[in-house]
Amino acid sequence: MEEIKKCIKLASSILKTEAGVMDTSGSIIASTNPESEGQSDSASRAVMLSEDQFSSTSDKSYMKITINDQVRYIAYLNGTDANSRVNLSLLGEWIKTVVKEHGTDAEKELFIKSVLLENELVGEIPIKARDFKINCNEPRLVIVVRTSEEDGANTLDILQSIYGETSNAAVFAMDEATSIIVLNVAELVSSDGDRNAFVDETSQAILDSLNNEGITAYIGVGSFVPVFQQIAKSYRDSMLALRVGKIFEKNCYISKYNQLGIGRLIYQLPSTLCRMFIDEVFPNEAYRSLDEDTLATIDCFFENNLNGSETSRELFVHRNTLVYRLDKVKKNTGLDLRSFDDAVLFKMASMVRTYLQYLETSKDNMIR
Amino acid sequence: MASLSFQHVYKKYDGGVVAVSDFNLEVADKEFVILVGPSGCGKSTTLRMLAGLEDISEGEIYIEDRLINDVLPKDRDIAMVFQNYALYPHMTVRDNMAFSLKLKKMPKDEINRRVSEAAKILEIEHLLERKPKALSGGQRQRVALGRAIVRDPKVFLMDEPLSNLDAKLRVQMRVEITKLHHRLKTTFVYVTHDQTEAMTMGTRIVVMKDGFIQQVDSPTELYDNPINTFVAGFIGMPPMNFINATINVDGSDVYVTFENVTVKLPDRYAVEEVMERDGQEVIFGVRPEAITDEATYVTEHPETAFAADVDVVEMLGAETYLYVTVNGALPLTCRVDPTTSQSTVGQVVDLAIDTNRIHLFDKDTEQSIIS
Repeated sequence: MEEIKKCIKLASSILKTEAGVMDTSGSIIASTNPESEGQSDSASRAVMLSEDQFSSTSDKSYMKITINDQVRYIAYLNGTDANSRVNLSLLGEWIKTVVKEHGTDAEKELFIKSVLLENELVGEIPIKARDFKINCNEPRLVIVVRTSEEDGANTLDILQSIYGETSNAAVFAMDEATSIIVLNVAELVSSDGDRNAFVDETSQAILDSLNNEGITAYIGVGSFVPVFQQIAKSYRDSMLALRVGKIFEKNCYISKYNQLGIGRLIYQLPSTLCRMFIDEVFPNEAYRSLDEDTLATIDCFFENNLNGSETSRELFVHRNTLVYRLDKVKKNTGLDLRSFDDAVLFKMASMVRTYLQYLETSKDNMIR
Repeated sequence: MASLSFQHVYKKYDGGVVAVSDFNLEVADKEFVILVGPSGCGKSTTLRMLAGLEDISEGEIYIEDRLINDVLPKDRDIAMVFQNYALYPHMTVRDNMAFSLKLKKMPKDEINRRVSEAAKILEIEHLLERKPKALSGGQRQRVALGRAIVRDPKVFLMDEPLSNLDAKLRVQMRVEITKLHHRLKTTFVYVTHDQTEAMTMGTRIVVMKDGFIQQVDSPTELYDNPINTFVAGFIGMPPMNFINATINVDGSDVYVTFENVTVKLPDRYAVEEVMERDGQEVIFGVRPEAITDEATYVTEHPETAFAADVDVVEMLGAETYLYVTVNGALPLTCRVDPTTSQSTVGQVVDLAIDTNRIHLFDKDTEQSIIS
């Protein structure tokens, strides 16, 4: 519809008379005279019944626009002389091409979605891809952008504005809150560019563009895959990055599949194994006995590489207070965080616990 | 135009990590406030909470008298400028500037009017039909500013907007943004880790560390009266020299001693807070420009003079930095006048401290002893 309106808008600067397009029921969907839009043309019925492609009334000429053997629209133009017929013919063919092209774009999008969701047979992908002029032999990277459902439409607009006119990227919505970017990264790979720097720059630019419009977004970056047939893997990786990042990383808006750290390992563990580990490290739910202050202290202690002086300074507490809190942790959990081994165990167990909490509370749990 | 109010604002993450703690700040209408601090101090998080891109864990934020904790970012009447220009590569400058207004379904005439006005303010009218790749870094940053201006926001938020630019352009854009603030007469909140940007642009500076506000003051006050060693060390380039020294009281005279050097402090230090520390260690803070090698000054102030070995001399044109060592143990940086300084590398030079510009900090709390 938007494409047809654009055509008619362009035509209005060329044609000296009113022209437009109506649907098969006669409702005008685009016109060089905006006031006509939405109105109904009673001649449409007669035009549809006519066997000819062109028809005319006393003051208007009509042309049926047929796509795939089906009449989809009727183009009209004020005037019945030979010139009007030529102009209408040109307009009709133009509209037809545009509608067809748009149809192809939609089909292409559907095809890529289908490949991402692994609904295509691997052997058939290159054959179908050729129809959409997709070069299968070039490397790709999938980026997932998740926002609130309300911001979904604007997010897609923004992403299409960033990548819309390039043949190097396909941008589309997977659902109301999720947009997908499939990037062709052949240029980057051939120029031996720094992949990490590319991922950092690209993802940050996307985030900043969305933030700039007041949209909070979470971005998952998948892995580089060598051929188009493997974009489903990159998509899976980007979704995994998004989930793992959200579980383990505080303040994390960009999660990259190749930088998931220990979270990647924990996420792969079966929940029964995780529960056994937690019961072993924190018997009798010892973790629950740690209050908010103590947990904040532990976090700060870890961030300062188990350096007590630095931690107490940062927390504005006396060193003895810190020692007291760490002793309390030791008493409650049996782990002395000043010892490297115990600190590692505690850190791992905290992450496993975070993961279990996520499993219990998240709806994503249903997906796994 | 709007005032801002942060009241006991916290940002806490799952697991107990606190990114911003008890942040209290009142920003007057049309003020240019800078949030400055090292990486991870919570300045960007604070800005993002104000923008609505980050949830507020505790506390309240007001724009004018409107509580905005639960207001959607797009309804807060703010505009943000990031380090990344976030321009749409396939759109012209005009379309880039108009984009957010089109998303808001604003009438075309109004969009054109706002874009033209913003382009005029930023002097980029001749660039309107160009695409971003045909622009220099500075021009792109102007377009990014233009995108913010067209929204006609109550508050401008800027998150390290000049970090992508080279040093020369950064200086130029600093001036441009300051001019823009004067011209637009709107409230600006600007985040940077660069103390020079903070000092040159802000009407007030908020120094942050580890999620806590350390000091909120005018640039001059921050420089002259830092509240603790962190602020003293963070503000000023080269940074302040911190010397472990001992207080000695002799009658009503107060001295500091370090590395066999004794410096007499001015009478204003003969107060209870200092006198009661007789024999105790303190941190003696001296800015590089408070140490001079000017012969006349050294002769006239023997009570603050000492000798040092010159390790490095850096001649910067308008000023010279001397990197010296006192008694082979204490490294100091001095900023001296190149027109009078005769110091050369390897030389033992006589220096004197301008004791009217020194600072004393508690060794344990690192807080300033005399406020």
